[in-house]
Amino acid sequence: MDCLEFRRLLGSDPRVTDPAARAHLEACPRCQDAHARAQAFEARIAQALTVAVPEGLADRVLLTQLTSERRRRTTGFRYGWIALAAAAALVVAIGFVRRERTLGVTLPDLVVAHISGEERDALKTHDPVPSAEVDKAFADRGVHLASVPAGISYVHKCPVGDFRTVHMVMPRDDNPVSVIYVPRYHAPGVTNFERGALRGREVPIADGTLVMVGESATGFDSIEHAWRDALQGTAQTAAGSR
Amino acid sequence: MPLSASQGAEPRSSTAVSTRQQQFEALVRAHSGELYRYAYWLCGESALAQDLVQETFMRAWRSLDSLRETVAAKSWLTTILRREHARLFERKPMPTTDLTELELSDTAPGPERTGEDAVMRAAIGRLEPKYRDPLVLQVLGGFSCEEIARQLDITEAAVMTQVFRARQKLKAMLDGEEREAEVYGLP
Repeated sequence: MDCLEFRRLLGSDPRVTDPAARAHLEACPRCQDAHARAQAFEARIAQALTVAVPEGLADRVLLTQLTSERRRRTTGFRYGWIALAAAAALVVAIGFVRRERTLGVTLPDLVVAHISGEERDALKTHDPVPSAEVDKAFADRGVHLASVPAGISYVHKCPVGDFRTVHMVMPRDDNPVSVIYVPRYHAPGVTNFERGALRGREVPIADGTLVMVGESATGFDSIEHAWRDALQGTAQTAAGSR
Repeated sequence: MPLSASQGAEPRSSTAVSTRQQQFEALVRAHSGELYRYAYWLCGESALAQDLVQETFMRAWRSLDSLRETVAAKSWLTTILRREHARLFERKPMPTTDLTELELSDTAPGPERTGEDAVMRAAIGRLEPKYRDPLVLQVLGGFSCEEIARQLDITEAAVMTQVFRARQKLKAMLDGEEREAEVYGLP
């Protein structure tokens, strides 16, 4: 490397890291002087460029980042809950759709299938169930009774299809009537139905639907009236809320 | 403190988040000063330079996992800052700050504001950006010509020419200033 090439390199990068340039520097006194001058000039440039950094800059940067990060996490958490709520709403919606589809089979069908499979022994008893037991079965389903109708010989909390119901038997004139109350499902109106030898009636009452099934319709009216009193209160029944 | 690939890829457990936060804090503490100075010489305004540093680190935080080695951090941050500066100009045309009228009054006057430093700063401020930028990267950032070439997306030879000319121009300007200072008895 000659002096000209060294001076070019020196002007481009006074740190002189190139091995050939270092070798030339060690051997050339004139270039050593030039190098010393270049280093002094470089120090002046560096000093001038080193402007004062505003006090607390790093702290402010970190504070901004931490604040932003906390906000992001909070927002994410909030959106997480929104997503969870949306998912829950979807599950509920699907539940209703499933119920509607089940009801495409119809609630009376489900009730008839249920009592045909499970109730035969229950139908044989005529001993009344204590009112407190009936009250408790409804309370467990989230339903408050204004009164407990008389003549209930059987009470049990039963799942019927997707519904969580209170299943009872109310004998009427040797016609044991199966009575199932479905809380929080509202039948579109009073419907009488037949399934084989069985007769039935579906009645929306209060916040739910009462389904009665027997070999005849004997006693349906009195049972319906009794349950209107029990579920809506006597005053409303008397006022003709049916 | 190398950041391994596995650290970057691991799930964001509380430990990982904490480690990430620590890495970020270390970066800020180590590089905010020199980034500010570089930003200052890019835009010529202290307030704007601080904003650029802030935004640079916020972007860095968001993509911290892409940083594999802390030795590359300075170059990485500088690149982010340059892009952010360019973005700023895209968003909002900046007032044509002439660095010959460099905002040297943005901090309290002190001894470093007078004498040689002030003269040199004024001279650096008068350099065209194409000369000033690589010079600042080289002197302040300590980058090699090859690294500056990558930063500025020009050839290494072009960088060498520009920094060479930058120094020549500074010397020429300072000779004039110094002669003028001698005439008027300035420090």
